[in-house]
Amino acid sequence: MNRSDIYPLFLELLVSAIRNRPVKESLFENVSEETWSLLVRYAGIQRVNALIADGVAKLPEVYAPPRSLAVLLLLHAEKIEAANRELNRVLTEIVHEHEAADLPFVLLKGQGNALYYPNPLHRTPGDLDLYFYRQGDYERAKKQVIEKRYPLEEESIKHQGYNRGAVHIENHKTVEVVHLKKIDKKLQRKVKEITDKENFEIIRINETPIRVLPIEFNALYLFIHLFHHFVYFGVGMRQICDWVLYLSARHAEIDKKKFTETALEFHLLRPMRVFAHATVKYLEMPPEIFPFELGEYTPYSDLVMNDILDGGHFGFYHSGKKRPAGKWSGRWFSFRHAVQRSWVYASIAPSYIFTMPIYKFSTRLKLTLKDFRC
Amino acid sequence: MKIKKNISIRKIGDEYLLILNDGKNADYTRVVSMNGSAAFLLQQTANEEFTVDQWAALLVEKYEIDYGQASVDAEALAEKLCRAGVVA
Repeated sequence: MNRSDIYPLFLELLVSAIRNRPVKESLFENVSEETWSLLVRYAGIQRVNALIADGVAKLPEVYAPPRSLAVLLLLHAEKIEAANRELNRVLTEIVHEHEAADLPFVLLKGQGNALYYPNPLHRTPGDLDLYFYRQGDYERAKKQVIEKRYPLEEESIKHQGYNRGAVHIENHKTVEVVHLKKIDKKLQRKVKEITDKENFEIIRINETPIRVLPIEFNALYLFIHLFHHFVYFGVGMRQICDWVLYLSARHAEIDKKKFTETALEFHLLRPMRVFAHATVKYLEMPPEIFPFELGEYTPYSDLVMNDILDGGHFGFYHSGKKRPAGKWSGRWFSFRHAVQRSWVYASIAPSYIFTMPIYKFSTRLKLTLKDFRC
Repeated sequence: MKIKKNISIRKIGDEYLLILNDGKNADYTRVVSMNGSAAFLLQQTANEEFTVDQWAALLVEKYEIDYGQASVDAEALAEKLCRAGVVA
């Protein structure tokens, strides 16, 4: 059996969970134990285990997976809930500590996105991304991490990661970096406009108020981030869910005309349309949730969805040769892979994709030279 | 007796599973299979002190069985949960 054989079943369970609709039971007649086993494993590859568990819970007993696999799915969901509770606990702890130290930050994506899931505890969590928006605060926050002796990771051009117990945190000095200089300037200008006026949205997690990006910019940022990963290696279904569930919940508050203009300005309208069509076709997303006209459907939407389904989380599960463990061989592999992808997807967003390998190469060179200087 | 915090009860078909976790991670080694009446008792007395007699009374009220049978069932459940570390 091929992995692709389970895609219709997987999508059906996922859609029933995120669209909150009953499962089409007939699809699950005569599903073998082997198929269920693959499906349960595949839910992990896409980092949507708890959503698939939600879908499975809607099936009548006669179509349900064998007991051992049902228990396994349930335990995965339980573990995801526990991890979310722990992440939210640490997040609120950090908010209080940083407020006391006058180090305000903006929470990017992640736990802020989880709020838009039918059950916020059922989003597979990642790390905490905290953006320090005031001059000098990023360095001060870094100093604090060093003083507290949390193990620091190598600094990238946009953030530095560290672990606080089991929770991985990334302190950001910038929200995002776009490799096209002209676009990046526009992006940084938009961020500055927001931070200068402290024009944030406030959400509440465990009763604690937390700053997040304002709606319109967040909708743009979520796509920029998603597309950035897609171009380099791939994205999984969790990242797609983050984007469409955010838009489902907040689209009415977004000025469609203004958003379309911004998307055009950022050269992102075309890829946004490709991804939007893919989610309309495969995830039953209503076209009206997108704050832009969808335009003509193109086969690129199928290509993109196939890539998401085949590659899984951040494209880690693409078939073929795996990234070698060595530092430099791994980097070379990832560079070559990105160049190959750029040829396949170039026409979705030529300005982004064609220049990406050069940017990737020069960034690596800069970081390597920085390492040598240190 | 009191049921420990950080447990959850999930239903699979007609079966209920009790999962123990430490508040940070679901502990995969502590999963207890239960029937509907056991799940009912745990849900009824989740955050309070209870005795086996109280459990028996709850069973009598809910399932209209005789007190002797209810008492035997409640005691057996309490023993099973004590062994599993669910009840302290």
